[in-house]
Amino acid sequence: MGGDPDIIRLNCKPIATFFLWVTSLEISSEPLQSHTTPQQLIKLRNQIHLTGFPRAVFYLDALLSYTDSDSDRVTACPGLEQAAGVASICLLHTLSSLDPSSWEFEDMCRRYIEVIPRAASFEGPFRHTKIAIHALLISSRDCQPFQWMDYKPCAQDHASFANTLAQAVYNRRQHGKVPRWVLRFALHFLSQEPPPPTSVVADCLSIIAIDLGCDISSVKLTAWDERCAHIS
Amino acid sequence: MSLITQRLNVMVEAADGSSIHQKRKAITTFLPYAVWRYQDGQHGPLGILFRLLKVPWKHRKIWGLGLILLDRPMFMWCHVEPLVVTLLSEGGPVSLKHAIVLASPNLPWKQFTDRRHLIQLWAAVVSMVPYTNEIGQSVVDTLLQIAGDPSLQPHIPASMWSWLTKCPSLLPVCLGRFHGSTARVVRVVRALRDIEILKSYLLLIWSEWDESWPNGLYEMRASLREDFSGTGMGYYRQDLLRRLDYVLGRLGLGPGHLHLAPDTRAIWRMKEEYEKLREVLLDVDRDATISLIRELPVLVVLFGPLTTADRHRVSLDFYVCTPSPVSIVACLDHSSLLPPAPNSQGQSLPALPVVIAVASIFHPFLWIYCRSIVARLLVCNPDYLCVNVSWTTYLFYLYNHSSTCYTTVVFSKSGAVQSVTASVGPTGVVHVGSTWIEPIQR
Repeated sequence: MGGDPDIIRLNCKPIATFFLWVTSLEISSEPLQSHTTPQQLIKLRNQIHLTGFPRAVFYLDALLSYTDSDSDRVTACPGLEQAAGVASICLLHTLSSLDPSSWEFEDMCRRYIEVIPRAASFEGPFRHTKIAIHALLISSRDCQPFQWMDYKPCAQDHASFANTLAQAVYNRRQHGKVPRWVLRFALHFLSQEPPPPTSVVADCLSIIAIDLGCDISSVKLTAWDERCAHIS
Repeated sequence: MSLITQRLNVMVEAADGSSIHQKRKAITTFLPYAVWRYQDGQHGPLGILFRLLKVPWKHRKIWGLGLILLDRPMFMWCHVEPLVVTLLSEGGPVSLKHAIVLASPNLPWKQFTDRRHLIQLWAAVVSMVPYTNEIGQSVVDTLLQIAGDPSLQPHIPASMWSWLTKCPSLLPVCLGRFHGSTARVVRVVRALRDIEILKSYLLLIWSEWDESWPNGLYEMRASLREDFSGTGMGYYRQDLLRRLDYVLGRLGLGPGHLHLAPDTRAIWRMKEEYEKLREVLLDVDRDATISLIRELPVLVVLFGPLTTADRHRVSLDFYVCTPSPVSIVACLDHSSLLPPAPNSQGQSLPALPVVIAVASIFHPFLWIYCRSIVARLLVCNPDYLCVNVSWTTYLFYLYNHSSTCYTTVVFSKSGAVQSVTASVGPTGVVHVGSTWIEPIQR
C-alpha cells in the first residue's frame, strides 16, 4: 500500500477508520504524545469498535499504509509520522503477546515482507519501535543495528517499551534464545547512570532471567519487578 | 538469593564452560546490575559473576600455527566500557577495585575505544589493591595480554613491568601467557634492560600449559645467548634451567597428567622447543665456564705478589648453588690451611673443616671434573672469602652463611686451576674477576 491517505480511505475501511481516528486526534488539537502508552491507545482504539478484525493485523496494515519505502529506506509518509508511530507502538505491543508459531503471526510476517524489504533501514520518529517490529517479524539478523544510544524516550514510553520487549521475550521463550538486540537493550539501560526507572530495571532483569532459563512462570507478567534478582 | 543468582550459581557449580559461553550475553547484561548491588553492599551477584569468569571454556585451535589455546568464555565487555571506566576510576571501595582487577584478564582491551585511558586507570588501580597471588595472577595475565597487542603495548606504564618479578603462579588457562610469548613482547621486555624482569618474564612464559609462538621462541633463544651470557649471569641461568627442567618433567608425564593441556602432538612439539631452549642455556653456561677459566690467570696474577703469611679478603660478585655435596678434593698443599679471618662484617667464622679426601690432579678424568666443578663454584654466591696464600697454591675458604659450611678452592700459581678442595656442603663460592684485594689488618 502506498502512502496516499485517500486511497487508504477508499480501499480499507478499518484502516481508514484508524487513520481518521488518529488524524481526528490531531485535528481536534489533541496531538498525540510520544509517551502515550499502548494501553491508552488500545483503550482508545477499542472505543471505535472495530469488531471482527484482528487487532494485530489491523495495526500492521495501518503501519504499512503510512509507510513509504524507497529501496531499503523506509520512512513514514509525509504528514503521517504520528499516525505511523502510534500504529507501530500498538503493533509492537500486540505482537509481543502473539505466539510466533501461530498462523496469525505467520500471516502477518507474510504481509509485512510484501511491503517492507528485509534489509530495511528505518528513519524518523519511532524508529526503534519500527526496527523492533522488523526484528520480531523478520529477523534481527536482517534489520539495521539498534543504536540504543540515541534512544531517549520519556519515562513512560521507556517503561512501556521495556515491558513490551520483556513480554515478547517471555512469549517466545520456547522458541529459542532471547534475541541479541533485546539483551543489548537491557544491557544499555542497566548500564545507565543514573539507573532507569524501577519498572525498566525489572523488565531488563526479566529478560536476563528468561535467557538464562530461569523459571519465572510464577511471576505474573503484569507484576514483574526486581524479584528476578532479589528473591531471598 | 534471586532467581538469576541461583541460576548463575548452578552454572558455577557445574563448571560447564560451554553453557556459560552460550549465556555470555545474558551474563554480561547482568553485570551492571551486579555492580549496583555491590555498591549497595550486596557482594553476592558480582562475586558469582567473577567466579563464572574463571571457568575454562574449551580448547581453541589456532589454525595454521598448529597451536592450541585454552579459552575462557568470552563476555561482552566492549558493550560495558563506560561501566569498566567507572569501576576503574578513582573513588569507590577498594573491594570493588579488587574485583575488577581480578576480572581484568577477561576484558577485551583491544575493543575498547579509549584504550590508553583505560590501561592507565587499570595501572593505577592495581597499585591500590593489596597484593595476593590471585591479584598477581590477574595483573600479570592482563599485562601480558596487553603487551601482546601492538596497539595496546605502547600504553603500558613502565612501572607495570616490575609486576613480573613477583612471579605469581599463573593458572593453566592464561591468555596472557599465550599472547605474551610473541617475539614482539620478548623484544619489549629485553628492551627494558632489566635482567630480573627478563628472567621473571621467561619463568612465567615457559609453561607446560601453552605453546609459545615460534617467533617468540626464536627471540627467547637469542635472549638467552645475548642477555644471559657471561659469568655474572650464572644465578639467573640456574633459575631458568630449573624452570625448564620442571616444565620438561611435567611434559614428560604426558597428556594424561595434564588434564587441561594441549594434545599429544602439541606436547611433543613443546618438549622439542623447551629442549632447544635448554640446550641453548647449557651452551651459554658452558661458554661462561670457559671464559671464566680463561680469566683465572688474572686472579692468579693479582695474588702473585702476596706472601704466604698474608690473609686477604676478596669481594665476591657471583652466586651459584651447586648441588650438594661438593666434595672434589685434589689439594697439593695442606700446609697453608690457616684459621679464617673475620668476615667483612666483623663476624667470626667457624673453624675450617677437615679436608675429607685427596686425589691426584694429574688424573685426566679428574682434571676435567675439577675444571667443571670450579666453573660451577665460580658462579656462586659469595658471602665471603678468606684467602690464604702459599707458595704454590692459593686456597679460598668460602663460607656460606646459609648452609654454614666451607668451600675451599685452590688455584695454582701457574695460572691454571690446579685443584679444588671443598667441604661437604651444598654450595661453593668464589669470585674470579675480583676488582679488589685488600690485606686484612693483622
